[in-house]
Amino acid sequence: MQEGAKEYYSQLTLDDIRPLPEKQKLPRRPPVIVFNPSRCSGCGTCEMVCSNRNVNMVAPASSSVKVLRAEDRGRNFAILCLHCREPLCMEACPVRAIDKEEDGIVRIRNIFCVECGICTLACPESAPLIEPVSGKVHKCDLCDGDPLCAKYCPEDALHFYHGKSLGWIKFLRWPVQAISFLLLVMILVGTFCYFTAGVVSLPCPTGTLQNIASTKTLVLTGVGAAMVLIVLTFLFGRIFCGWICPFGFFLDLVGTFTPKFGLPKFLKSRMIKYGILAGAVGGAAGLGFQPFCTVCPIGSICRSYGPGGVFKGAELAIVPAVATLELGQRRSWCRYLCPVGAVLALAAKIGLMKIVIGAQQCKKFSCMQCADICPMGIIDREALREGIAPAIPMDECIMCMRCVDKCPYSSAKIRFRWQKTIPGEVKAWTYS
Amino acid sequence: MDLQLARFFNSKMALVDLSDSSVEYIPLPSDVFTEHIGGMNINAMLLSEYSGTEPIVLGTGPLTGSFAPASGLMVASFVSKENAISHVPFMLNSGPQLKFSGVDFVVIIGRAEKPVMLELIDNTLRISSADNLTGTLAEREKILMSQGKVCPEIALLTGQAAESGSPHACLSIGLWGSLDKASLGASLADKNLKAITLKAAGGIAFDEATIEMGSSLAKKVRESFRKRQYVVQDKMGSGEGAKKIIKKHFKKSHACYHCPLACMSYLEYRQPKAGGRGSRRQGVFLFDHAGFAALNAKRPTDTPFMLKECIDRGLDPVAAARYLDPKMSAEKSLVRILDLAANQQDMAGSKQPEGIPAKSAVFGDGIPTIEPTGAADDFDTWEKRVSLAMALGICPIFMLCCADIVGRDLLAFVSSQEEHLEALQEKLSIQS
Amino acid sequence: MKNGKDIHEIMKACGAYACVECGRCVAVCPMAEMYPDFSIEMSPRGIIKKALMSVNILEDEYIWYCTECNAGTDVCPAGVSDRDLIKGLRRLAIENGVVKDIRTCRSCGEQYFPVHVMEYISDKLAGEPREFLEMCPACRRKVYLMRNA
Repeated sequence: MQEGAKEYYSQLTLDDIRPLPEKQKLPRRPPVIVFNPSRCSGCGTCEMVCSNRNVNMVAPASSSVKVLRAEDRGRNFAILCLHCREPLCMEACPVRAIDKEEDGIVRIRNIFCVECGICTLACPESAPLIEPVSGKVHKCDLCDGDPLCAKYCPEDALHFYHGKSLGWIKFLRWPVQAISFLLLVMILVGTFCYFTAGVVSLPCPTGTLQNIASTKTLVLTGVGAAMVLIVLTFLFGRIFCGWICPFGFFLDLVGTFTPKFGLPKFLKSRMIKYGILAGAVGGAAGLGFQPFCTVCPIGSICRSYGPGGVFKGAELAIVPAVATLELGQRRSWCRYLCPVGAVLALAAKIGLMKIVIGAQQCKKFSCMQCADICPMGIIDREALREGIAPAIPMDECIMCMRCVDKCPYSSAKIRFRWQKTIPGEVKAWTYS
Repeated sequence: MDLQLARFFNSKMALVDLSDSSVEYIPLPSDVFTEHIGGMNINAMLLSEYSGTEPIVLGTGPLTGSFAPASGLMVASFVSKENAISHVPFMLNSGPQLKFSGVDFVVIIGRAEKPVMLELIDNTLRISSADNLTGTLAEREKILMSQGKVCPEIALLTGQAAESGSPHACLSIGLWGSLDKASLGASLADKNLKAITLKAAGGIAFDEATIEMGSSLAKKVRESFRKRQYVVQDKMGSGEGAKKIIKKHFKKSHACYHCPLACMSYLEYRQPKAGGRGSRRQGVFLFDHAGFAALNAKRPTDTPFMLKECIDRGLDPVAAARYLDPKMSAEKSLVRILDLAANQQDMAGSKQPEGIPAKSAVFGDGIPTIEPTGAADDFDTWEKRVSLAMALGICPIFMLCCADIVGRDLLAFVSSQEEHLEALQEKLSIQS
Repeated sequence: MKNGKDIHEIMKACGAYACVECGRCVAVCPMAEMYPDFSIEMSPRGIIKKALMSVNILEDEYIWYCTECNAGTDVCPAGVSDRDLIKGLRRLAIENGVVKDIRTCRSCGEQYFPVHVMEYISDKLAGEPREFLEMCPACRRKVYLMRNA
């Protein structure tokens, strides 16, 4: 056969005929049905009206909602499609019959569906339901915007919701960060570090430790002043890192527009910062001066706007050098290297507050916006995919509350450590 | 005049002969429904048709599975040892699961040589071996429910009481308990039939206009009852002890098929572990209100525990209550229950339990005695309301508690034509 | 050949003897999109042919690729039921203890789907190990309930 003819006869693949959609602009307020299990009485009305719409009969086996009447622990549940932001069924369908359109609804296009059932096997909660006898697959399509199950549920356990869109915490946090930058760097010159302690000081605990180790004397007022930050962390978590630290503010600014390339594996251990802390204190004891304080980027920012004038030369170079880590991951300095953060992490570990992810209305694997936006990367995506609410390690959380802001279903909350909010919290599996 | 009731049915019945393991499908002509309407009336007709072969009939009514409230009724009728006909109601969603499997009535005759169970799974009726069903009801339920996609929606089970020939054996709906105090369980045990499992794959087309009617009726009912966990006990006049125990252990309300009343509760209690060290959290469903009241009169402090033990053995709680005493320890009461479950003799004497008079053995002795005060038509006595409910396929407890629902309200779900309604009213002898 | 009679029963029940080898089932088969090495060996037409030719079909690894979607049956002009054929052959193979490329549910033990289909799904979902893929749909729903109710 001639060359041209060979090309003509090459096989068309599904990517040519029905390509997967590009990363599309997702609706800001995606529609979803929110289910409240504590109200569900297991009456099955949702199944009845849904099947009536699907096949014009009351036939629970042909509905798109499955009611589980659990006989252990007396719990009921309605399994229904959560219209994921990144639908797994859409990726797995071998004939590309599933589509997510601009209204945010994930639909099976019946003209293409061959009823293989692979969408059911790919879904973490097996939401598409297969009729046992005919094999037909039914999946929720939100009744094109007016779901019947939510309308007729007698217990108000199913609620059609678009999610809240405005998070106000960031309108508080950015000004606080800016003001604290102003104060600590420009107005109250050098008060942050222990280096130049003024009358009013907020001394850095790491600096204090190094100072005690190097001078081998304990200045009680100095230690007492350093404890202010520790007590603040004990009460509110690492709020210093998220709201006050001037270098953190700088990193946040840089991080909003730099692209992310990832970091090499050896750098991605949260224990490195404890190592640096130990090294700094040990070095101070041995060497007689404060080794870390000389290279500390937080200190460099604070000190460089000094009486000597506007930002001095060599010391200032440390700041952008360390900030290049933002090209790897968000706040990677804070995650892996900062010894100030290490001290605060030890205090936050036994602190009073916690962030709860995955409370009642959380959409788990179908949403995961909190995991996407967390700058410290401590929300475990794997747990969410399995439908488990991950426990948040408070020693790593900087209390920036981006997750609380972003969650459209108010399922990310701040609570006291002893409050029980979710059925079963599981220790985070892996995060890096 | 043809009342056009056949559209609510499959017009099919199944004749199961356990002696030769045969299943035969027999079509039902529509004049059967015009003559007898449905439910227990047709059951009675079938009992007389197959008399001499010790039949047990499972039947549904025209409104079973429909959008009428509390439409989950299945009636099991049989002739008891004293030669009296008894119609036992079964709720949850047993009625719709039977009807949507393509069969309106099942007549079971003959006796099997080895223990068998009747499986109506995915619209196929089969008699299969039940050798592996042993132990408590919880264990049997677990065996049946771990079969992946063919595990049943409803499993009607007999327990150890039936196997040892106790005359107080009852047929339970899974772990929910039962309203069978007429020893239907013992009759099933005589036939060597251990379980009946249901999982529907089909459906019936009901009039769409009835969705709204059902929803507004449901709203009316929900608004008239606030604390639904006490409703039935209140109306039975059980006294403060029962309500106190429910209040102490109440976890959640549950509803049967499409029922707005949700009179069932899940009670959680702590059962002391063997050896006296620590306790375990256990739960039981309060579905059998008459049994609960009878047990509460004798064991006011650990009623849920006793109820669970009775259900687990397939033993009628009202019979067990006769042998319990407030002064006995919990262990001793348990031993008494086990004894009763293992004993063939009728230790009861008279069928009437003390304190709580049950009415009418015709309806299985299990429906609580509730006087329907405030009825607006002549449909105002216990017998009339229960008879109407059992004929139409509506839960009798719902009918008794919601006395302001008149006959016309329900018949509106059957037909909207005046002449039909008048004929139906006459047949069911309701006068407005 | 042992099991010849059983295989004959299955073929008769699903009408496989009526196959005219038109290939419509192959044209609609989703396996073409799932497996890069899709060939006549695993196509419905191929399986029918091999079964008819008395090749030892029960030990053939290619009967474990089908998803039982029934698209082939829908278009077959001769009325052959592909799903019943594959289901019957797989059941016979398991009964005879032959190759079992079928995944077992971690929690209920039911054998719910062939390994090759589950691997295809795993690959599509970025190849990371997912716990929920090891359970059958019914158990997956129950586990989701236990974690979220």
